Amino acid sequence: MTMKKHLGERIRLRLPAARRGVEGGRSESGSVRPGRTREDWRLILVVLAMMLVYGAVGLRMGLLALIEPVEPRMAGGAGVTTPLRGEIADRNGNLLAANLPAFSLYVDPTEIKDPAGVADDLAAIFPDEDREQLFKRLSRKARFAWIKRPITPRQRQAVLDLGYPGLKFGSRVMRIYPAGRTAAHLVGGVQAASEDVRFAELVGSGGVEGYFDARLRNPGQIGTPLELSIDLTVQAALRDVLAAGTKRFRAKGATAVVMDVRTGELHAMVSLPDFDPNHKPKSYSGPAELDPRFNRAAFGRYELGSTFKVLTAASALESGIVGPQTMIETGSALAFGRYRIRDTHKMPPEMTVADVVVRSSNVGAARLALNLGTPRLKDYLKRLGMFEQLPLELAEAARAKPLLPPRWTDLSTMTISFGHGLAVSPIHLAAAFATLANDGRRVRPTLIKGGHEPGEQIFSTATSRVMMQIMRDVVRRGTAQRGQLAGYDIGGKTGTADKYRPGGGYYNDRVIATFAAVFPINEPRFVLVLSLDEPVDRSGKVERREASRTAVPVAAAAIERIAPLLGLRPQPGSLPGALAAIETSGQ
Amino acid sequence: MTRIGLFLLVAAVVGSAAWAYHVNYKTRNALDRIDVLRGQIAAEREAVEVLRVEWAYLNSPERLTRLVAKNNEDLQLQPMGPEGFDTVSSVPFPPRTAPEAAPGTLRSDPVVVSERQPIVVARVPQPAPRPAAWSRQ
Repeated sequence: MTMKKHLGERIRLRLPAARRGVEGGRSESGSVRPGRTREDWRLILVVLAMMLVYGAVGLRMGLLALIEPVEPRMAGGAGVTTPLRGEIADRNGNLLAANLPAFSLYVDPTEIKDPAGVADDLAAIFPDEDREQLFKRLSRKARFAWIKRPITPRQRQAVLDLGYPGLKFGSRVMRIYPAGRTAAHLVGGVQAASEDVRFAELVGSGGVEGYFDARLRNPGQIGTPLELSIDLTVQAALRDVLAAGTKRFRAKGATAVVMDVRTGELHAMVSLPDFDPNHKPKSYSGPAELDPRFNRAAFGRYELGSTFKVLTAASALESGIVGPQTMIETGSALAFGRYRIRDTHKMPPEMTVADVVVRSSNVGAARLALNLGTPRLKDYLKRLGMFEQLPLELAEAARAKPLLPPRWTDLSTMTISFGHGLAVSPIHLAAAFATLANDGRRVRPTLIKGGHEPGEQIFSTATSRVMMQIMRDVVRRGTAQRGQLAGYDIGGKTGTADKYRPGGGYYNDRVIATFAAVFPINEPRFVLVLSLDEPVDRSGKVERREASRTAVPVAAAAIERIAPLLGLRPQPGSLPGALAAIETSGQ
Repeated sequence: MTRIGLFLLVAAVVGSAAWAYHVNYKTRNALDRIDVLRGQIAAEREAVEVLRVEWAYLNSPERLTRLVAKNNEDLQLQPMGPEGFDTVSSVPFPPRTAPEAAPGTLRSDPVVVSERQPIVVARVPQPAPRPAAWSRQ
């Protein structure tokens, strides 16, 4: 205290003296005069500036010494990890695509002393990685190389146990498909985009993942799973039956779809051969038509054969040129230019329109189509969506358009009337049959739960009823008698189409056998379209390939399996009750 | 008086300083706790997520089919077929017995039971235990 006072006095004492020196003695001994010179102000300013600077430094030092450093914290709710990509579920909430926390493995090659030894050890942990490739990456002249991504926590532990310092991990979200093969073709896949060590953006590629990429990545919707119309149980059952049928008839492949007649929702969509989406094959060598990654149901374009006769007959009935009992000449082959259209079996000279469908007469269908005329048949097929790409929520859908004849002649009309010359996907056909079964109102296929409202009226209710009756007769007394089931009345139409030979013409011994079914036929709820690629029935003396012997029994087995799962009760009285067999016993 | 005032003032300053110190540390502890809890919540969420995926995987039709085939000897499970449906009338309910006579009435009071009884499908001495699944319907 005394020291400070002293100091202050000395300064005070000095200042007047200094001034005295400058201004030449206007002394009032010891007291500060009110008026100050420029020099005074300059001095004060310098002192103040010094004080400010040192004060600020001191304050900062004090703060740094006193306050512990803390990470900036965000207010409210943050800090909880949000998933990067929404989940995909089936109509009952079973997960079809989900995320798992996982890791990525990378290496700093400069820290690897013995690349050969490390490559050996890593190849033992990752059997699907090539040892030579690993060695190359480990001995690269760089500071960074990916080893594998994503890897599971167990694999990470195995790598950690190796104890090499140069192997490093980043965190990574892994997309996983719990349903596996069952829904392989639906979900598609994801690819990592803009990835670094700690993070990778997953972008959908193909299937539902691709189509709904924006929806699945939208932060507002990540929390709610995308619900598909698929019923995983039905899908699995259908795949089971189809796989058994493919094996029995040694088919190269097969596809089946189940569609809701009212909403167009696909309850199941199976394509064989298939693959495990968790280990999606990166490459495939072999004929393209056998690629397991190929979705036959949506993107396979096949001439579906006689199933088209149903559409021809419905169009003819709707336009009013014939009734179901109108007689059509079917006895002789139909000559058109240098082409002759004939039936594989001998047909009676005349048949009703209904019988043309029930007994599947090519000549009858062609004559019907000729009477209807090219423009009208085209118009009906067009309104049924047969000429446009599938309005299905799959990324690849935009690329798959039906194959139309390059020039639509009357001959095209005749062949298309029985399903040759126009190649569509099985789902196209299912939608057309669903439209017919839905009292004639247009049904658009969808993979989203809820489905669409029925569209425009294409066929009248009366035509729809008549056609259902005819399709029921196909199963009762026509080509699909092997499709009769205890419990459920089904209707449908078979189709056996010779396969197109690349380079022109058709194979004699390779067919696509299709059965398009509506069930229950008296109150249509679902459409099943089932196709077998090159089936052969070798159970008899002669090899048989017709749909009636191949696709129909498989479809019947499928409906028997899936109808109860779809919640359809068998018709009362059509079955001996199961409960009658149960014996209740008391103790 | 000024002294007491001064004393009170000093006491208030000391008190408020102590209070501020206390609150400061309480806040810091609370923030630390929030961090810990957030970490725990994140870990729990992740665990829930993993368990959900595991559940979905364990219940995938492919795996269940495999298990059913493997345990066929013990379980003998079969695909559900149309014969799994039946009408209520064919359920072998236990026969309805005559209700006990209410107190105050004669036992000989006419209680007509027989005419209203359903046709007996099977005789059950005692009602079989009701499966738990029924109670939901």
